[in-house]
Amino acid sequence: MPQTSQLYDYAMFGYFAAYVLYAALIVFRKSRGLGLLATGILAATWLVHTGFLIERGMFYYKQYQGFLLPSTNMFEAVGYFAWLVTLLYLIAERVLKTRAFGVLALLFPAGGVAYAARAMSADPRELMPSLKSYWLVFHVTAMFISYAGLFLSFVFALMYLLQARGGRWVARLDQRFTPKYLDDISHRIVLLSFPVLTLGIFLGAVWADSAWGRYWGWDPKEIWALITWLIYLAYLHLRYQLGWSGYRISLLNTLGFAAVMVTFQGVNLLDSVFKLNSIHAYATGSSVFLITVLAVAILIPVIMLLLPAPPKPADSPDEETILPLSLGKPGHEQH
Amino acid sequence: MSSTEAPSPRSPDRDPLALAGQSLWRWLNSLPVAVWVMILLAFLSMLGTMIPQEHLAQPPGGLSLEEMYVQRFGASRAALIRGLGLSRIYFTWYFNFLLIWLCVSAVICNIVRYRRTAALWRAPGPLRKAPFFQASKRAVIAQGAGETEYSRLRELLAGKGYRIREAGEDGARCLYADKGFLSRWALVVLHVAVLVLLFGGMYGKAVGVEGNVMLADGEKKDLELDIVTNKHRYVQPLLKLLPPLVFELDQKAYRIDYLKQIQLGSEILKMPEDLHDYYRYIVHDYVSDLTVKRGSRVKQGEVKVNHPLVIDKLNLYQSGYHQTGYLSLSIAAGEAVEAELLADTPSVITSRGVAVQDGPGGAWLLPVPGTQFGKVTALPQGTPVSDLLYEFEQVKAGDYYDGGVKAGYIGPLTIAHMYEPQSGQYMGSRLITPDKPLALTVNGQPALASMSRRVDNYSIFSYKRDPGIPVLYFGWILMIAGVALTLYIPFSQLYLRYEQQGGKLYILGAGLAFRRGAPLTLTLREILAAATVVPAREDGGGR
Repeated sequence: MPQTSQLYDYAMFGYFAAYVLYAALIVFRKSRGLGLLATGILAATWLVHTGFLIERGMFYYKQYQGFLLPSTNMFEAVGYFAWLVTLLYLIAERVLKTRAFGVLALLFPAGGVAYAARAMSADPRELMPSLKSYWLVFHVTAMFISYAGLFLSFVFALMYLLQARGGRWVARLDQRFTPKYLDDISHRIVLLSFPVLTLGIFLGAVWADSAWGRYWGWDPKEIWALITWLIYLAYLHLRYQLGWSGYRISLLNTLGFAAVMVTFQGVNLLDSVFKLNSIHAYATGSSVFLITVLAVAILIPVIMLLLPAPPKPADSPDEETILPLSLGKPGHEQH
Repeated sequence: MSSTEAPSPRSPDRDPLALAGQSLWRWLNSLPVAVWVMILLAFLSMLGTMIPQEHLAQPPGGLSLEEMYVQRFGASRAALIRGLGLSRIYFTWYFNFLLIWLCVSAVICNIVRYRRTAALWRAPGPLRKAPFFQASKRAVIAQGAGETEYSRLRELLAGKGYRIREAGEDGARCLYADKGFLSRWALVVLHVAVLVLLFGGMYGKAVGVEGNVMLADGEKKDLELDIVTNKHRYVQPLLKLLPPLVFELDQKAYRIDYLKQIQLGSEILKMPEDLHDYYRYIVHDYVSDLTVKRGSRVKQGEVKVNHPLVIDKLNLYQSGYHQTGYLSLSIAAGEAVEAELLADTPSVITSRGVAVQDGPGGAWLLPVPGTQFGKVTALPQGTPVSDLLYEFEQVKAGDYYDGGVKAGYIGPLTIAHMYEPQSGQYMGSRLITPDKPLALTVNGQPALASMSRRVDNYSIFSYKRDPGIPVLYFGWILMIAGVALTLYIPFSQLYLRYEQQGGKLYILGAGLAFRRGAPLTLTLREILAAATVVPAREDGGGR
């Protein structure tokens, strides 16, 4: 099998073409044909990418005589994540009936796939026996689905923050993109992703127990998964019980996504930066792309925190926050 | 007690103990405090991924842990880091205190939540007076609504499967309806799951035992589990009462299987072709045919990675392997010497065997034949040594599979990377097999080193007896179910109060079903089309 394949090259080109069309939609918002073309190319690209994953899976099947998810090195992990983000994006586009967030949401698939091809080794990894397990499929897929969902949630939170900071262009992308709408969609995606994240961590623990005889080993990747989980746990508690919404909760969402990125990619850099060992580090050394993604994810909440608080938007989501237990005393602060 | 009466010294609001208890309860039941504890835990956890932790640290070049910290951070900072426990942060008292705080907080929250949920389930209490509605900015009042509207609303809710409770007072009819109550119970279950998880973890830590054991191919060994050492001093006396746990291990056979790769990586393809034969084969699996006996119980099976053997709650995991290979050395006209190889270590070849250096500038040491790896002795003065330094790759030997089918036997084989001793300059790499010897010079004399056919295989097992695991997994499953049900089952509530006098219908709904634009809300509006709907706060009733 070639290091990548023609299918990968086609997918890479397709992502780029789709991204250009989604970017063009910012200018030609009313062009229905352009929108359909963008979605069509993206869906076709996703199918081609699926073909590449199947091709890679078949190679592993021949190599190891068993099904293996193509996510065993950094190149494959970035590609698999991009594939999931695209899938979730296409679903979200259909459900929300808007393409206006494509230009932000597709930045990772388009950029990640291209960068992975250029700067990461596509060599199939020499797998240690513990990785040849069906748990790999369940654990990695659950974790990546949650990461992809949290990424989309972050995109909406980011749009909220940009709008709150005076970015009127966000509302011009789609007239439904009011602060309340963005806040609500971002929150709903967290609701969908958090249980999957919890499930993914549990599946990882079961796998670790069957492979190494320990369900939790305080490994850096495990710890960052816990940190991510704690941040989103705090997010849900603050939203439901203390009524946080809008700017503060969006800020927390970006912080949570920064933790997701460290869990997903940053742990691979801990070895080179802090000289730490992780059994989960499937690639070491520094990487400009990863550092950039990580820096952006971490810097957004920091910069937003340092800036003075923005004025409350007219259509503030605080007015209609759904509090499932809100029929008690307003503002009660117990669990 | 009247307001003028002074409280007695022992009354709860004066008793410092009672006051402290109340404060503690409030703090433990406070969500902001719990959130801060979560943030602190996350921060400390993050610190632990930036400072090498003792339990994961692999000090380079034979350094001790302490030396490693001094080398990385300097003496004073290293002392501070170790003094504050930052090098073993997850086992410090303050980290555990925060964890316990969070768990106790979950217990208290759970008690409060259970009471509240049970009360709402048993007796929702439909009787709500006007101020209840006027206190909420989301309540509305439909002026001019009548008995018909009230009844139609009731029918609508009943038709949608709402649980309805009704009551009446002073000419007013009150109604409470809810749907999706399972999510409220799921929230209770979710918090119970935290406690189950905690209990499972603590129980396993208190009475569980784990460790490693190594067996050579065909070796028998007794494994006595030490369940007392490293346990809390309060638990130790109880554990001493338990009978000893001894397991007889008998490794009938052990094999390491290799896989012939279809395609080599780009880095390997850049190497000289004769080295490809080494890198082409990768370890596919290591499998022990193991029999474990305890008393009358016997369990026999193949143990391999991801497939532990379980007997009497003892799990035996195939966690590692070791292969020791030997070089057959023909130096000068003397008899061939069989020399043990130590892989990944700078070595010299001598007339007595393969010697490694005991640290930079240290004495040259030899493996002692007949012992397990790692034991070495000093090299006698004047022993002839090779002109180059060698670093050997791990020996590979075993059956190999090609396309899932056993295709033959490889090895033993290794690769020798050669370096000039003074400058450390790389001089090339050579594959060594029994048929492809390495030509070298020892004190200027030609010599040959080929792989001996002898290979010693060692199987490394991790073992664990943790009775807390089933509890822990049960807790996890509860938690996942709780999270999913809480977040995915929408819970909706509606309060109605119909006052005949004046024709006022107070409405307060919460949950997705009563959002603006939701189907139920739209139907509700249709029913109230004839009435004037205004926010309850503007009713003039005030708060």
